[in-house]
Amino acid sequence: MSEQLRSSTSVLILFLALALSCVGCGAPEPGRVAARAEGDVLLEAHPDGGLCRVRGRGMRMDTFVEITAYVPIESFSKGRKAVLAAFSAMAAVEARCSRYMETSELSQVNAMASTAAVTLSPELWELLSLARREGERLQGRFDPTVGGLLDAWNFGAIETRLPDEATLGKALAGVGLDGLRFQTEGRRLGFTRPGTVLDLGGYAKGHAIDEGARALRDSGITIGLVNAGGDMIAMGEKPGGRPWNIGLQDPDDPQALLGTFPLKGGEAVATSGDYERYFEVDGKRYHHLLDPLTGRPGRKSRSVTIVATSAALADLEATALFLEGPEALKRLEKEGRVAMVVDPKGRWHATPPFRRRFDERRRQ
Amino acid sequence: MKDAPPFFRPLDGVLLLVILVVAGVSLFRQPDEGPVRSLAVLVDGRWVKEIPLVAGGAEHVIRGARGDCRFRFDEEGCQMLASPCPMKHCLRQGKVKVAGRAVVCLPNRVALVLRGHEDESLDGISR
Repeated sequence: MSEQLRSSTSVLILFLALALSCVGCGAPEPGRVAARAEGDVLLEAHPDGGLCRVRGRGMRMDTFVEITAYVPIESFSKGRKAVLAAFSAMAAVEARCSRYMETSELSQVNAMASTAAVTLSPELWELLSLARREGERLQGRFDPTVGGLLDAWNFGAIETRLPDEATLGKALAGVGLDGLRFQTEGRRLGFTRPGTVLDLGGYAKGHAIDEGARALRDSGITIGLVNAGGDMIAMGEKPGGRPWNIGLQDPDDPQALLGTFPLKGGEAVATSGDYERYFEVDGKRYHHLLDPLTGRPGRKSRSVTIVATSAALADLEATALFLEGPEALKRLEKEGRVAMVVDPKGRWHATPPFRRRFDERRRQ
Repeated sequence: MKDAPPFFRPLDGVLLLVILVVAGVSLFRQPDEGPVRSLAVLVDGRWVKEIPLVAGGAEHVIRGARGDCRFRFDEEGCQMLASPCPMKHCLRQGKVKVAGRAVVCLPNRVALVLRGHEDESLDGISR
């Protein structure tokens, strides 16, 4: 072999090393998505803007979850571990906060707190304390004690029917933050009203999103997005300083977008709409966004979107905003918040910060 | 005594340039937007299979937690045709056409996710 050829061979080895670094991102074909299953998570890797975009998809809390992490092009393994850790963190929240898992801590509290105060884990204590503070701030439009009310409406039943007044009245009797007795010493919680059932609903989903983002950060990820059923939190900016571009569903057409808006790093967004869980009786829609004060579905909005500093806050504020309707935007405008409401006639209203960001696709 | 061969020769430079160009294009190229190319099927949160898009499409049946879901996957998208769930939200969802979107039947714990060259301009849809 000539010396020239030997020298060229060394360069060829360099080429192979470069090529392997591409494979390390999991992209066997340039520009194509590579995918593989890891347990119950479908993982994809893709070169994007000089980094490797690792994305995992799976189900958590009965919701379709998508977690994205950007890592250096040679660090697919780091991204993979981070995304899987985020899915695990979300599963841990589900195991603690789901009302539909008999073994969850929340189910245990619901089963026992009526007879005796129950000692809570630090995490559930923090969650319920925050729920109480926010419920008071939002004047009862968010209330974690609506579990009995949701049961009365039974949105998941095979045969759907409207609850009668007696059933609703009984369920409403168990609703109210004043029915929770918090004992700071020992982190204990008791129910003082009969029929109280805690349901953390979308709020727990938001908390799971926050915990997913925390797991990404703990794994060294600085650029990422955790999205559960359309509620999400962004971390950092995309490669090249690009913002996270978020579409907003049109409540009248699940296939269409109302428009798009940029989400900044550290911001979370939640949308609540009457099109997610509902049934119809005599042509009238009855959805799951119940007003804790009346026991009935809120009628002042079709959908709402709000940006907050955490997904848990965005989730519970979206619930309250849905019930309050467009008039809440005056208050949110004074607070400089990014929020919008689609009213029952399909017209959208927004605070100035939201209008400045919003790129509307559907003209009204 | 023979001189040691030079570490770097002109031909190496040309080869290195080609390598760097190819690698650069590989790493920085943005994906093509385009049609859906496959359907990922998840049951009870677990990835079960991926169905490639075939000409003319086909109907498929997948066993979920409550029974069988029947759906069609073709060039126009994916649509649930029958499901044992009580509310039939998944049927009302109609045909899902855009890569990255999903038809989900929660009671039967079935998720059908369209995959392909996704709309790279969107990072998520708030709904």
